[in-house]
Amino acid sequence: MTEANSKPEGNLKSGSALERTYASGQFVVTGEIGPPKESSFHHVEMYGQGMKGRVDSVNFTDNQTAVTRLSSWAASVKLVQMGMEPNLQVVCRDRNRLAIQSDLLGAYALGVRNVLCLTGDHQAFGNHPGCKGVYDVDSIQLIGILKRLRDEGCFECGEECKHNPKFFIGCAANPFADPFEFRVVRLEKKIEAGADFVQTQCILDMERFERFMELVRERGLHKRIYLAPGLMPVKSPKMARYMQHGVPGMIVSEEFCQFLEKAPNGKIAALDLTVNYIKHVQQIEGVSGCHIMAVAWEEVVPLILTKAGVLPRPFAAFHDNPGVITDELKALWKKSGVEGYVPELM
Amino acid sequence: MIVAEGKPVEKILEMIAPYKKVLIAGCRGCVTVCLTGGEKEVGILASQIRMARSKDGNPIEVLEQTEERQCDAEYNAKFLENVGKVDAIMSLACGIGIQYLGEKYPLTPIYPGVNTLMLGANIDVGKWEERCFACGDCVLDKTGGICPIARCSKSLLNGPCGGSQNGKCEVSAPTKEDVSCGWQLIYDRLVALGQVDKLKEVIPAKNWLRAKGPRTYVREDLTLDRS
Amino acid sequence: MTKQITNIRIGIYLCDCDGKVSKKVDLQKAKTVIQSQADFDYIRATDVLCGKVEKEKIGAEIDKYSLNRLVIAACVDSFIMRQFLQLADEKGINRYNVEFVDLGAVDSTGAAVAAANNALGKMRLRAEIGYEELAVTPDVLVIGAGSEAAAAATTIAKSQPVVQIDNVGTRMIGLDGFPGAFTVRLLENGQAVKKDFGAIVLALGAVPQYDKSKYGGIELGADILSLSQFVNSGKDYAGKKVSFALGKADADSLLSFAAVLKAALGLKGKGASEVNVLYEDMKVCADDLEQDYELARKKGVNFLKYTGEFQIVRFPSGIAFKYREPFLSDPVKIVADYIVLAEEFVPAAATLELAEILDIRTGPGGFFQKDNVHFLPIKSNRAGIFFVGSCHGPIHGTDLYNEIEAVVAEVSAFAKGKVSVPSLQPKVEAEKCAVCLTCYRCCPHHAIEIVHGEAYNNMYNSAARMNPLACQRCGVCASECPGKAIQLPLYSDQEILVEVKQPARIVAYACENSGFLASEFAKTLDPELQKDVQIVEVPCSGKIDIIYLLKALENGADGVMLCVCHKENCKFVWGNNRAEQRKERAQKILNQIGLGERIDFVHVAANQGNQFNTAVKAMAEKIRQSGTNPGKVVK
Repeated sequence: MTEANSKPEGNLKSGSALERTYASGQFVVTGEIGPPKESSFHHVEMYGQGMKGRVDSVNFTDNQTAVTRLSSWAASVKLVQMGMEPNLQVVCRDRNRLAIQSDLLGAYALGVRNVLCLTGDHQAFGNHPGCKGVYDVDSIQLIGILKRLRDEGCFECGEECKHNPKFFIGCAANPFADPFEFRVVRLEKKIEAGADFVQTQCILDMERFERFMELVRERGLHKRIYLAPGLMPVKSPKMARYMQHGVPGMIVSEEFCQFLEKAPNGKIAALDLTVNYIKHVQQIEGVSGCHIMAVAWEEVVPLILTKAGVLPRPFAAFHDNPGVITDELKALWKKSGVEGYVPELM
Repeated sequence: MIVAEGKPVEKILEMIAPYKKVLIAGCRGCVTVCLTGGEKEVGILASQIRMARSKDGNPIEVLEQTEERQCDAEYNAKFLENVGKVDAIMSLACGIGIQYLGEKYPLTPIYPGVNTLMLGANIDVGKWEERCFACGDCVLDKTGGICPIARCSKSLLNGPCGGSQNGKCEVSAPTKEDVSCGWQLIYDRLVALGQVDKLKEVIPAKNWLRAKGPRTYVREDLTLDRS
Repeated sequence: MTKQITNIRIGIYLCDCDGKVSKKVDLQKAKTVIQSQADFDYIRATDVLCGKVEKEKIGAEIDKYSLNRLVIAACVDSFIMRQFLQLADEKGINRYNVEFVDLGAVDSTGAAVAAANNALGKMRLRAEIGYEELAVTPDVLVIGAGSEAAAAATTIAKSQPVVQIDNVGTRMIGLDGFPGAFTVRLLENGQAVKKDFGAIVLALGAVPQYDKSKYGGIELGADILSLSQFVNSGKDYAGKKVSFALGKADADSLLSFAAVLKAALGLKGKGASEVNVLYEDMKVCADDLEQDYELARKKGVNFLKYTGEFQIVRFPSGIAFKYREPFLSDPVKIVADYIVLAEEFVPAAATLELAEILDIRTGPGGFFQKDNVHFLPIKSNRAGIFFVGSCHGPIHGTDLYNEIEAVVAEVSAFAKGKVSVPSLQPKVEAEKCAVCLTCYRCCPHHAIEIVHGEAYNNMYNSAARMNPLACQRCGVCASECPGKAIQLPLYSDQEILVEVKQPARIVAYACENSGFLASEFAKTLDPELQKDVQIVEVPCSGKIDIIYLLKALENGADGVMLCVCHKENCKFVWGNNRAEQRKERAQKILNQIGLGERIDFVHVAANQGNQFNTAVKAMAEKIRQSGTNPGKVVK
């Protein structure tokens, strides 16, 4: 575990593997695990093993869609204990600035180095819709707080923090929300506030993402922040259609839906599509990595990454000895009918 | 103005169940304008209560009185005679009036006949929308005259979040209501004003001490010394 | 503002009408009961009330007992009413202080007493109605540029000053004020100008528009003309063959027929060699059209009936219609030098903009005026603003002169520069007015303004005020007012509620334009059915307040009915819609306290007596199922 007082080497701000991989100019690959709705690390261990050595770091969502889940900081610490690197997601919905700074002090002391600052889905979406949405600060203000802690060594109120946490600061961007032309302006605001890396909402409409990247390059933002688009293997054509119509902030292209609908095996097609997207985005100027968010399908991440040819990872721990594919994981592959996708992993 | 809606009559009947004689107190201010607590609504509620209690074989006498406002002691004094005749008061004023009337007559139980909803504008007959949060630190100069605290579901100062689509806020889906994205409105207004550059500025975290009370406002230069 | 009512003294007269009333009513008994129950200052029962002798006697009693209000309970008809109103007028009692009770229509002593008590109650509560002398402008504004506007302007100008604007070079951009005293804001060649008018007449006409989709896509050209092109061409068609086609366009009006007949006659008169008119059905149901048709036939115009589609085909010899004649088996071909096709009519371009400026409604096809029988032919929802001709639908273009005459009659009200009107518009009590603008917004006639002044005794020094010439006295504002600040004279809350202090089993609030008249007709069809029904007359169903429905039930009725005009045919635009919304809420109020289904909402027209009876039976059945009203409050 890295001591709080240690200085990151060279020009690195946090010294994390994620930062190091970005800084080296190599294509970054991150994964994501949604913590469970129970007091158990079983899933974190199972999926974590699958991603060990195969990704640079792993996101943990923070009460995603306002549903109570095992906290992202606890899951992140568990991952550190497993020898891997977490990306701690923090939303503004559930905690005020006092509690957030407090949690982050603890997280850093326990080895967490990457943090994403997000607004958070409205509490009305979740399982406690009547709870009070806090929103004491917004995501941009939160980025500022982390930057202040890291670079000025003081809290939001200005008071000194002796052993100050030095995070690699991340944020989100959604090229599929409105107003479209303002999205790059908002990204720039986040960069100004101190964001180091950005992960976008998952791409289900490549054309719109490419237009977004045009605007990003126009403003020169790609030179000021590391950008990784989110990529999601969509389990079924029905799910794709649902997201097309039923989820705000998400745009799914007709092409995407039809690819899945016309394929003989929908699940394999979903994996193929993700692999193709990984290869495609590597060609887009300004894209520095990709973020695989296999929501409710975390088990397929090792399959996708092996097929996509992005292994081994340069600086991730265990990159030369990737994690074990447990029997449980293999059983899950069999359930989805994808166990033949990368035969050597079976 | 302050906008209120009538409480369900079952709740009102529950509140006055133990009483034989009550006064329904109306107000000619905001609750008249929002068609909830004026003389007309007082009459309708009184009739409904009388009939309900008659049906239950437990008749009740209901007095009706409406005055200018219930947030000024002088107007509340006008209720004195009727308050003396009843066991309880059911006020249809906003939460301010109900409490202030109660302070004038602390020995008579007072009950709320309405839910006070918001500070809102009257869009058209029968339609009101929230516009202000009374947060105590107005930033309308930075946002083209549209309030991010009141009109953004998350009260973001540097919005919009990623859930804004086609001018709608993401809460529209789970609540099945038609909620505009406040930040889309702000953006459109600033574009129309040629002031969209204002959005480059990061508005710092809010001082929420001003937004939550109990708050008091005193103008030292105007307070009256009656001694 | 409401005048102070001091020292009301009511006299009530009961008349046997020469024995007619005694057949059903014990007059002396009624008198005794009324004397013990009611509030009045003088009462007399007699055998015959009309005639010179009685008149003098009543006159003397008015003086002796200082009576200033009268209730006449007798067999009432318009002749009798005129007699008594004349007498009252001679004695300085204005017509609104005389209430009639028709004893010929009641069938029991009890009913007679109830009716008399109601009338006395109303007289006790009635506000004093004065007369207002208003200065008005006789000038009339005619808006429009075509022949219709010219005809309107010329005719009206015979009796009143007229200004006609084309709404192009001189455009209307705003309207303030009220009938008799409108201030019109104009843009005259770029200059902003204000002018005062008493009335405004819209005569924009309709715009012909060739729709090629009605003719299989045929494009107009040198020899295929639209009807308006032909009419405006001014060409010489001597020696030429011209064919007209009717029936494919302009399905809803007679304008094309009128124009084609005129054109055909003109062509024949100027030496055209052959004139053909193709038609599916000959529509001549307007003044002069039948004549023109007969004349055209006499003059040798060929009228050719077709059925189904026709084609327009080009030949070396000319251009032809190819069509199917209903009685011939082979298709027919008629060749001509020119073909003229009828067009569709669309609203003039300025219609929407003017509708907004004038706060008037548009209707079917986007033309002015909703399809509501009460506005026909020339009225808008606003007094003082009228339509003539095709601007409110091309069908009116053929009836132009009748419409112009109707408008002349209406605007003549302002010809003398002043009018005297009874002050019957709603009155606002400033102390209770929150200036919430609800009445202002709900008024269908744009008759309300917000006024300011020291006299308005509230925190705004302001209140709503109803204009006596614009107001149609529907009472919608009075029922919408959340502060109960508005009362409609003759139909105040107090006057209406006194009628249901001791209600019948079923109380029917009936609009005087529909439900009330239907109930009268219904009584002649089945006199027994309305025994348990009490009819309370309102000027519009929009006057029916929720509290009227609740109070009738609170006081002991088992059910209430709202008898209103048919949908989209409310005389006051949306009174019946407001009434329906209130009925929904009132029933919800009853459901919340478990009182059952007790309110019926019935659309009837004035002549639908049978339907009224059906509705009463339905109400009775509903009450039977819900049981007697358990919410009745015993005092």
